[in-house]
Amino acid sequence: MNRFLEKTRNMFTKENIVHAIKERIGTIILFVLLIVFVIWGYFSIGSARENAITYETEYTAPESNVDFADPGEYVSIAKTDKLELLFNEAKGGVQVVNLENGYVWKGICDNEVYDLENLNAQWAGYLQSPITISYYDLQRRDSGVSTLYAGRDAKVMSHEMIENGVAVSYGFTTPGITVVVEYTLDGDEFVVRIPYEKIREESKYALALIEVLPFFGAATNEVGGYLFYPDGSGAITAYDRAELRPSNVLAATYYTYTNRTVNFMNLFNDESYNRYTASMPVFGIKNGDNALFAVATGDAANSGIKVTPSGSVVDLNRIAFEVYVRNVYTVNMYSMSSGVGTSATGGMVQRVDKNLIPEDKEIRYFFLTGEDADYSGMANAYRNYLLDNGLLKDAIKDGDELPLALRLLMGTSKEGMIFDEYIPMTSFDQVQDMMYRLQVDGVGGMEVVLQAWMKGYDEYEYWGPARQLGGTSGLKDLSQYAEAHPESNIYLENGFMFASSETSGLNEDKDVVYDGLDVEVSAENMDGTVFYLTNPLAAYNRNMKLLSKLKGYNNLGVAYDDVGKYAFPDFNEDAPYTKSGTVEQLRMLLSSTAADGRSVATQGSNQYVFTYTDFLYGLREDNYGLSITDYSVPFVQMVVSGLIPYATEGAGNLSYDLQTQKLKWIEYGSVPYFYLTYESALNLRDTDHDTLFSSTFDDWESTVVETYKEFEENFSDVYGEQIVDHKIITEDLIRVEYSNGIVIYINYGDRNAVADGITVEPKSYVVYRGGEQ
Amino acid sequence: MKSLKKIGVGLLAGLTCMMSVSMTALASGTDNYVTGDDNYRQPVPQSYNVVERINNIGEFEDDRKNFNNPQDVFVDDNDFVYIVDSGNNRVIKMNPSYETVAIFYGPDKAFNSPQGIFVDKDGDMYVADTNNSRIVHMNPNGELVEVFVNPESELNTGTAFSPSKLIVTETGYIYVVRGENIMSIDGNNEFRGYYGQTNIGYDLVEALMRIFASEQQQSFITKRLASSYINLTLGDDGMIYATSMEREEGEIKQLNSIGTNIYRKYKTIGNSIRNPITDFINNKVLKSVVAGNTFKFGEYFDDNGEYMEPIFVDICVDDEGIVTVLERLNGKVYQYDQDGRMLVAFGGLGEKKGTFIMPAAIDVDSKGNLLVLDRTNNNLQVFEPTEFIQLVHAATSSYNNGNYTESYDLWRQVLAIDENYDLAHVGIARTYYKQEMFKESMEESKLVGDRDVYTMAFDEYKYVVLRAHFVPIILIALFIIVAVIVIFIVFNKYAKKAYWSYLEDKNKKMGIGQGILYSLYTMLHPIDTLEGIRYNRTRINMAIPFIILIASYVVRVAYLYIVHFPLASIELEDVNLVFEAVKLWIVPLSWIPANFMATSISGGESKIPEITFTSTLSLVPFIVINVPLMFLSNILSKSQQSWYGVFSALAYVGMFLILFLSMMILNNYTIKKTIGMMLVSAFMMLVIWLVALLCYILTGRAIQFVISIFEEFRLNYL
Repeated sequence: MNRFLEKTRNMFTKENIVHAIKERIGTIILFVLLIVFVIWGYFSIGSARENAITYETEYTAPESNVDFADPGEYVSIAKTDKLELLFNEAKGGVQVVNLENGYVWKGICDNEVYDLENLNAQWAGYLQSPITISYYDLQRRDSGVSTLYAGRDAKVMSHEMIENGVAVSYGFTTPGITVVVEYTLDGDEFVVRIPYEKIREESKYALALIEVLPFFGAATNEVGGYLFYPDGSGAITAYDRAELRPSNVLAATYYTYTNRTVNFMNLFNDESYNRYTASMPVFGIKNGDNALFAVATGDAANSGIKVTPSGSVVDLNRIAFEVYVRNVYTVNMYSMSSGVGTSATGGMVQRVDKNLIPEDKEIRYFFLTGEDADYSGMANAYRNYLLDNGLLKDAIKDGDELPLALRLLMGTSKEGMIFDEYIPMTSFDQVQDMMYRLQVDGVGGMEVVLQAWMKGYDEYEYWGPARQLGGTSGLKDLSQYAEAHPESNIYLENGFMFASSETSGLNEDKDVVYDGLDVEVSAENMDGTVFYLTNPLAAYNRNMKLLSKLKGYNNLGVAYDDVGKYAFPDFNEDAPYTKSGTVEQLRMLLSSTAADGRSVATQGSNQYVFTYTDFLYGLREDNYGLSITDYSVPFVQMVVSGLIPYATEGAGNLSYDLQTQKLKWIEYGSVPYFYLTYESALNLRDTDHDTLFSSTFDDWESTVVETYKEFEENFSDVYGEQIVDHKIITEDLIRVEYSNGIVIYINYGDRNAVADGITVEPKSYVVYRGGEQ
Repeated sequence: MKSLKKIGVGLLAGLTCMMSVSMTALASGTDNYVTGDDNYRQPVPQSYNVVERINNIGEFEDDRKNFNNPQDVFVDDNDFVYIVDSGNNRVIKMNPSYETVAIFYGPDKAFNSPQGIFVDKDGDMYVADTNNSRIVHMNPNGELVEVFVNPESELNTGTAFSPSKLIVTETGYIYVVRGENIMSIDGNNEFRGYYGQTNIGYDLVEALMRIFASEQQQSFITKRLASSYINLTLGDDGMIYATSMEREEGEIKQLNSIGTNIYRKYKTIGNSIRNPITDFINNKVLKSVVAGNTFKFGEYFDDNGEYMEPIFVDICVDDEGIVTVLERLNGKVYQYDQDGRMLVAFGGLGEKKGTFIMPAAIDVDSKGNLLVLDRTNNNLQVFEPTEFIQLVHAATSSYNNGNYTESYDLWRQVLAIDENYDLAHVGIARTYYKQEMFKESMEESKLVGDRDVYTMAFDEYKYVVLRAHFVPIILIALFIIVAVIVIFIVFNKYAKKAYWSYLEDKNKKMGIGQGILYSLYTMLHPIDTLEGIRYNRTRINMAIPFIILIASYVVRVAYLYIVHFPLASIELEDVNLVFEAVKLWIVPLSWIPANFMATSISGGESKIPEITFTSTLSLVPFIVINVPLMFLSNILSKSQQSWYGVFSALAYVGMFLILFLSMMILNNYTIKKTIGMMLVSAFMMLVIWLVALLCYILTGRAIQFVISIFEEFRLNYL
């Protein structure tokens, strides 16, 4: 035993220990690392638990008080001069009667609308649902979304009479979610409100989305009519063209102002932007001689428009708002073994925010009959609504001349072997020269947007006139030139919504947009430059700085190339914004520019810019082109026509056929628009602006002047007038009527076309001024 | 869009990016574009508009209104449209307004998954009734005329006969795609031979196997087959146009009467001898670089910048010889002129009008409308040519017909719409050339980087100038020759002096100026100078290798700027400075450790310093040759390329020679041993490259790992 102790003692001499350590150094380091990992893992799990949303209280579902088999009865609960609201207690549904002609707009389907007996329980329930809810399981890491239908799953229902209407509470017992919806009449409008404070979540489920009256006005193909939705300039899905559609009809959803999930590439990618974005929170239904027009008026930014033509499971054409009560993010899971963006389950996981979006939802429905029951009537109604609420500026003054719209690319850079090479395309002096030459040729007013005029355009700088273009002195001269020519507006284009790590003065922590998981919304290119979305407050502050820099250049306006295109929620801790909050901040940005006495131009037609903008450019002149869409209509243009001058996305010089482009301008009431450079477009090869394949001023000057003169001669008397009626007579023949009675017929076809006794030559148009042509 | 368009190219490509940046420009979002030799997408005006989307048979009486997995579309001479609706086992005939006028289900027995159709001038239909293994000939009313089955022949053996795509010539021969061949059958159902098989080339590995393998082993070696044909069509010129799975050229073929492909080729020299090493490097390691920098049919990158190999599922040719092909993987329609130059690319995958999910077939009608069939969308989209592309078609056709002035006017009209349209500039340059306006032709072709036309014009222009100013040019040339001789004599004198002073003054270290002259003297007396280093190894100046390295790099960069346009191997904006340095230095620098390792274990005497010195000396020939060459190149053009290539090659021969001599002299080896050691060193060098590559990839992975841990940490705690 002693010997053993001795042996043990000898073993622990200093040399032996050092030796032992030396021998096992690799193993020791490995174990230390392992321990570090374990501790780190322990804490990270701990913190994840802490962050997780859990509900302590056990939820027990109350007894059901609803008999879904009971057809119930509709009773009148409110009445105005024009409308009557009926409520069915058993179904929790409403109907709106248009008293002008007695037409009943049904909030949910009954057997008269569709044969409910032959549907399965889920679909029968869906068709009879005033709302549906979609929710996530908070305790599951990658929970999918689940949907419930009030007509099948709202097992606890109650209601309360309120002024001019009813508040119905829909209790979904499975997830323990209760939603209160208020249906009221307000004058000629039917209003649906969902107060966020009355949404109750009593279990571990988080409500994300509510479809509001998904089958309001749903109709079969035999009814005749169409669905209208703001895809691009406006789109129509006609009931009578159902036969022509493919067998696999899919619903399409358009998200107001910006795609719903905030992801940098989604925002930046034009294709995905155009596919998913609605610039106005509106839709319309035309059923026979009656039409319904819906506008999201409360928290419009958090709404989407879901279009479902007949053929998608049931043969009902339907369209409705879905409203978002919670932000949902797509989380990119990190995977150690296979790199960023992939995970065992496929990479992208949906997560929801902890809290509800603190905004009440409100939707207003307008009802149109007879002549007005079409998209023109809807545009007129919407225009009046915006004007009444001070949301639409009347920027065109009496006596204003029809302007020519120009966008001028000032400069760009090209990657060189060692240094990037700056390529000046139009200097400030050359802008003057171009405007002067055009003026001499007879062009009156001009709306001129200068793009990339600052140094560091690619770095999203907002100030610093490029030296190669004439620098500050050149800009000063231009400002003076603008002063001498009040009939024209010159806008310095800026973008405040995007920034990059190269942007000077940008705080990459504080001035950028975060998603709900506290991660910056960003993307990185191959050079290592990181691109960000700017926090709305930071964007506002940067604009204020621009305005202070612009002191002394008093006659120059500002153009915003993205403020009218993107709005998103921001979870930046220093300056958080809901999506509607962002919209408000962007409106303040525009209003401060207007308050500075400057003209404002915006690219993109998100409805919130209409209050302040003097010139809209880049308005889409088509829709995305899904297979469910039958026609394109100039809805956005009709709303602003005669109030704000606008230019289309397509420039005359980039069109494959200028004549077709001109006809489009005429149909859409757009001013003639060219996107030019002073220097030769050949310099733009292999640059970021290679899409500008043909823009040289010298080559285009005469065409621009001719086009302008043609417009001035023919359309001066409709400039400043509203488009009150637009009709697609045949696919090639369009009739447009202005508020002063002037009618224009446009023929896109290759043959003569006749309408109302007037013959229109191929690829041509006729202006009909009552009696004379 | 601002410079963000470069996002979207993945990271692996860390390595490949380093070598080529041209691929990065691909992600630019544009619907209509052309790509030139470097795959750069140059936007062009809208070329086709979708005028119809046909999803079903319309009013026609049939229970199954919609198409189901349709596989082929054919437009006959009267613009009647035939759709092979495979999933529904029927053939739909539509009139030129796309109204269904007839549906055929099979004359004698029902069609079984038919895949292709051809309709002749009389309206007689030939349907490839695939799963019934036969070709059915019907008259325009759908009544049976005859049936063709698999013809009997000893050459026609192997896989079962399942005809899919076919054409019928005016002689009544049926040509049907059969694997790597097109099989022809005559009117009596007799086998008439195979047509248009590709030469599969020579394969070193296979040749060796044949020599060494026993008979038994040979039976196990799978026979190499030529790439399969995918589809074919009959041109108005009577030629067969076809697409195949080939990768190196011949994806699109124009086959003449004896089955030889006469369409645009990638290589001017025929089937070169292939060896496994360069094959491996070109096809595996550098495939995206190679694909990104040379002309190929279609594109090798999809809209997200990911590498892909195009599959041309169908082809059609209009009466002017304009070839349009349909690519399946990125859903693009590519259009080429009669010479294989791209006119426009459009389409793509997506859900909007004018895009596809699984495009299956394409055909063109007499008005130039393109009809594209999608087998997943189950629809037919009709694309109408715009004014722009019609002008382009007219211009290429009139050039091909020899109406140069008319073509010139048409190209001018094209340029009025698109100032940057490459082919218009090339067309105008070619017309200028025909009109002997060489200077203008050069300018025009240089604008769009067309080296071939530039070379033609430049060569002519050279003679014009020479003829006009013969005497002064000769005088200048004489003066330059004299000047060069004088410079050479003076240089030789000083270099000699530097050499001797280094050898004799045993106490002094080599000075910088002296070292430079000494290095240059290597060009004249390599053995002497190398021996001088061997015996005075302690006194060499280690600044000299650095100076040489820098100088060679400066020369390379200057060369890129100065070299004559048609001889430049790479566009300036595509140059990657890091990659240039790697290319230039990799051999001399990796030679140092390789050489040292090899020689130190086999009785070598050389040490790292002098190996470094002599290895970098191997760059001296490069410097000496390239400095005059880059200036000289400005009076040379592509037609003197081979002549010019000799000089470029000399630099490498010089490099090799110096490395060889230095190894021999520094280590006092015999020639035989030197050769052996060279091979060992070369092998070492390869090992070093591979290890370096491995390290690069592994550290990349490690860094990615650390970053992802850090990211997770940051997301959780910060």
